[in-house]
Amino acid sequence: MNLRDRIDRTLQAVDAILGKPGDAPSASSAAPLKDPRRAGQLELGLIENVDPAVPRPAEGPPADSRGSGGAGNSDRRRAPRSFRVERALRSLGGDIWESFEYALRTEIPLEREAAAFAARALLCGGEAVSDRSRPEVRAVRAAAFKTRREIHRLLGLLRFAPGSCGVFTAFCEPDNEILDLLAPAFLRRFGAEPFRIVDLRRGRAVDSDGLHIAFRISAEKAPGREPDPTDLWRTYYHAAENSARANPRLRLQFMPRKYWKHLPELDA
Amino acid sequence: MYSYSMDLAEKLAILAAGARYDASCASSGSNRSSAAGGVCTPAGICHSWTGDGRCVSLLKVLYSNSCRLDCAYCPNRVGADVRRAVFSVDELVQITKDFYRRNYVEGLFLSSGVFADPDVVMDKLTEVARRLRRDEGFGGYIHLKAIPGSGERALREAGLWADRLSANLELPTADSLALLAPEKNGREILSAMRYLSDEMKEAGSFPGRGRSAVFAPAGQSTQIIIGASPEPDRTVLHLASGLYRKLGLRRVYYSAFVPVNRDPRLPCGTPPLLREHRLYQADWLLRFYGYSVDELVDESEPDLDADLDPKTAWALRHPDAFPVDLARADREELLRVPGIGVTGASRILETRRAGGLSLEVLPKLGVAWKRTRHFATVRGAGSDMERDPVLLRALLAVPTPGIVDSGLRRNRTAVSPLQREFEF
Repeated sequence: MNLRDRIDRTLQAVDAILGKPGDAPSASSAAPLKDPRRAGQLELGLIENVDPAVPRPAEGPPADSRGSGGAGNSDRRRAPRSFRVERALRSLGGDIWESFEYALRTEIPLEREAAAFAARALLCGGEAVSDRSRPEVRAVRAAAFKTRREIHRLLGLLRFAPGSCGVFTAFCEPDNEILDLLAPAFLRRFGAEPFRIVDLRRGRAVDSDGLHIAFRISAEKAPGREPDPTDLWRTYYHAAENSARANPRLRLQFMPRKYWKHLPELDA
Repeated sequence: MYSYSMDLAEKLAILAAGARYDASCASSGSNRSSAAGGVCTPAGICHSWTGDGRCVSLLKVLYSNSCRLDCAYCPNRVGADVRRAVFSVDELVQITKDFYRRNYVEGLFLSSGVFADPDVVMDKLTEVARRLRRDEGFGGYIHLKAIPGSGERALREAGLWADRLSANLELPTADSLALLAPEKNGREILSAMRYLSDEMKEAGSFPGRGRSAVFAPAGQSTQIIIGASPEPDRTVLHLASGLYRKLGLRRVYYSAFVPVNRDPRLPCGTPPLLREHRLYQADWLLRFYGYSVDELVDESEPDLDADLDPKTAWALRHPDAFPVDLARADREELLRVPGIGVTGASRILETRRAGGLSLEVLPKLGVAWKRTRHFATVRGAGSDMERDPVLLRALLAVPTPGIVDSGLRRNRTAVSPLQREFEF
C-alpha cells in the first residue's frame, strides 16, 4: 500500500480518538486539542485496530472520492480530516512528526500504536511521548529508529554506476520506504549531474530531475559490463583491509549481509 | 571515458596497503558544499567496512610509499622489502572523483612517504587537494597528512584546501621516538601541531573572510601507536588529554602495533587490540563523560584494567558512590553509572520527567541492565544487586566480543627506561 494512504488512515484514526468530527481542515492548532485529563482513553487495548487497507465508513474520505481512488490516479483527494492532525503534530516540534512518519515507513503493522502515540502527544504534550514506559512509545520509536538507521546506512552503501542512457544509477532493496528521503543528499552530492536510485523491492525509482515523482519501473537490471572504477574499488577495498586485525563480526554488525548484494566490493 | 594506465590497479593496491596502518578514516567535522557537486556532512558517512571491522569512509592512500626515514615500526621504512610506487596527481584526482561519484567514499585521505624534502612532499599533497577543489570543483572531504619536518608555509597552504590535517605523533614520548624513529623529532611534531592549532583558532575567529580564508575547518587529529614502546596507558592518556585540552584536537587515534618488520627494538606477537579498545573507551570517558585521567589510571595502577571497561573499573574502586538512585540523579551522576551511556541517560531523564520511571522499565531504555542493575536503584528499590566487590568483579568481567587478543600486557618490553612525558 501507498505510504501516504497509510499515514492518512492512521491520522484519521487519531482524529477519531480525539473525537472532534467535522472540523474544517484549516481549523485548529495543537493548543485546543490538548487535554491531559483524557489520557485514560489512550490505553492501547481501548483503541480499535486501524485497518490499513479499507477505509472505515465512519472515518473514510467521502464516498465519491473513495470510488475513484484506484491505482494510477495520482490526483486522488487526500482525506481532509487528516490535515488537522498532521498540522497539529508537526507544530509540536521536536522529532514527533518524524518519529510518527518514520515508524509508518517500516513494514511493521503498528498503525494502532502510531495512532496512540500521536493522540498522546496531542492530548498530553510532546514530552509525554518520550515516556518509554508506554508500550506504544517504545514501538513507534523503535520502528522510527529502524528507518533512520537504514537511511544512514544507505547514504553510505548505495553504489552508483552508469546505467541506461549513461545516467548514474544505484540499486537497493531497503526494508523501509525511504527512497524520497535518500534523494536530497545525492542531489547535493551530484550537483548538476543526473542520477537515479532504484528500489527493486517496491519497484520504484527516483530521478534527480523529478524528485517528487516515484514511478514504477520495468525490471531494469544492473549494468552487466563493469567499467574500470568498480574494479579499482574492489582492489582498494581488499588492499585497505588489515588482516592482522581480522574481526568479521564487527563488519557484519555495521554492514548486515542483506546489503551485500548491491555492493561490488563484496559480491563473490 | 577512463584513461587509467594498465598498472593503476597495482599501484592502488600498493599505496592503499601502505596507508592502512593509519587508523584515521573519519569524514566528520566539516560542512562544505560545492555548486559543481559534492558535500560534506558534519557527522561523516561510512561507505563500507573491511573484514577487520573498520569503516571505509575515505579513499586512504599514500601519494608515494618511497621514504627516506627509517622508523622501526613502519612497513615503508627505507630499505624495507616492499614494492615502491607513486601516483601522478592526475591519477589521484581521477580516482577520487570516480570513487566519489559512485558513492564509494566521502573523499580523499592522502598521506605519503617522505621521498624528498618534506616541503616538496607536502606541496605535492597540497597540489592534489588544490586541483580537486579549484579545477574540479570537488566538494567532498579531504584529509591531508602533515608531513613530518614540513615548514609553516607548506602547512598553511595545505590548510587552505583540506578539511582536516593530521600530524602523527606515532609514539607517546620523545624517548621512544628517539629510539624507534631516530629521524623524527617529537618536539618538532608537537610544534607543527601547535602551529596548526593557532591557525585554526584564528580562522575560526574570523568568519566571513571568504572561503579561501577558512583553514582546515574539520580541525586536526593525530595517531599514537600502542604497544610498540613500553609506556603505560597513563602516559598515553595524559598525552591525549593534553592534546584535547591545549591544542583542541578533534580526535586522537590509538593504533594497536602490528609487527611488520623484524627489529630487535620491537616487541613481537599479536596486535594489542583489547588494549586499544580500552584506550578508546577511556578516551570517550575523557571527552563525553566528564572523567579526568587521574580518575581512570594512577601511579599505583598506571594501566587500564584488561577485564573491565574503565567506567566499571572506576565504579568498583568507588563503592561509596553507589548505588545511584536513578529517580533523583542528575545527568552527570547518571553518566557515571556502568551500563548507562549518553543515550540511556537522556532516555532515563525523559521517562522520569513524564513520570514513567520504574525498575521494570529500565531494561527497555537502552541501558546495559546486566551491568547497571548492580549500581542503581529506583527510589531505593534494586534488582538482584550484587554488592560484594569480589563477586561483582567476577560477574562483570566478560570477554569483549569479536576482539581476540593475547597481547595486552605481553607486548611490554621487560626493562622500561623512565619515559619522560611530553610537556606542552
